[in-house]
Amino acid sequence: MKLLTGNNLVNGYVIWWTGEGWSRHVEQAADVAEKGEQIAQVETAACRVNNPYVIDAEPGPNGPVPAHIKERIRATGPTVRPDLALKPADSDAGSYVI
Amino acid sequence: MYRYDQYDQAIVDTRVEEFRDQVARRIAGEMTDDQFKPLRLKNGLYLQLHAYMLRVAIPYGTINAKQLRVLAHIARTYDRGYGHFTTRQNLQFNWIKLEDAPDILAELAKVEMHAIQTSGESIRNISADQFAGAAADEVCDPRPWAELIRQYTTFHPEFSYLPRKFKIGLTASDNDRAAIQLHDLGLQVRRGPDGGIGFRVYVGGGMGRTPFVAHLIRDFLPADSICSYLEAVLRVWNRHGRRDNIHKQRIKILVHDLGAPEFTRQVEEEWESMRQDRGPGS
Repeated sequence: MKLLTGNNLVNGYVIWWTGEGWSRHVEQAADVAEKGEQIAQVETAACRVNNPYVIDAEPGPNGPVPAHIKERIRATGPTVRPDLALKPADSDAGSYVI
Repeated sequence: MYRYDQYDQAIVDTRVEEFRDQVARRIAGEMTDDQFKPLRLKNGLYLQLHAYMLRVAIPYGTINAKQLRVLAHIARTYDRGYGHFTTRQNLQFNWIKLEDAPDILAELAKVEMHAIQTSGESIRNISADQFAGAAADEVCDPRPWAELIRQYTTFHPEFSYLPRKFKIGLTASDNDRAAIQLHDLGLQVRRGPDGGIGFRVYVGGGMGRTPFVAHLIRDFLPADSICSYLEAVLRVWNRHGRRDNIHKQRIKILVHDLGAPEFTRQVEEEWESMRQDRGPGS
């Protein structure tokens, strides 16, 4: 599956396209299939996202899991300060980062 | 420590308002990211893995209590209660919001601080011996020289389109606590044969993916020639530095490719030409 991700223009947070809008939780991300570039163009023009791009992911028990480790780290937050990381809906998320 | 005069303060205050306008235009959609990116990078604002990051310069590592309190205030008010001191004497805030950046820069300007030339292809904050001014083994306090170079290189038009970033390290001690040979330009304050103050000049050091120890290109440079000699080094790099490959753009690659003797010859030739144009003492 394909996910669309980027950073919120105003606060810089990592965000994921849900099919209707943007969420900070990767578990809520939607499979954009081949429509990622098209959505990215619209959302960029509307100033809702910065530098959007499409990534590969696999379905997980609690939602999509990014294929690349960089994106898994983006999804959960700093690995050196887990107290500052985003608390994902998937309680097992911490274990799939590394 | 150095205090801003009215010109310094005016420059910093003007820059804050300029960036405030640029941020507002970006958020309003009047600028694309491609247009905005070089502007934010001129003000120390990166977009990193998790959020925006603001790098604040602490010139040659000198900071007073009032400034430190403002940094703490910024960390508590605009960030997550902490900042990250870097090895090159900057402070990085890792969770900055774009919309807050102009207010943060305004807070910094009130205590004579800024984030100008802390990112982008510019001459960065000068790193100095952390014990400068207090070390028993130093020839003199090197920080006035660092301040001179800071002023000379800030907003210098000839250095506004460098091939890549340029970092200067400075010490006045034989014990190199500032790691000057791991900088693009390393300067060691020393006394010359006649007892006068000058510099030992190293070029082409660096860390990262291609680490190099800098080469000695001049054993003694009279102190009053530091600006012109620095300019000659930058001119040679500006002329030959590779802009086609981000991994080959740093001056260390040029020094390595040309060889230190040839690089040195070109710098000396350029410097001599400048001295003839400008007269003795330049």
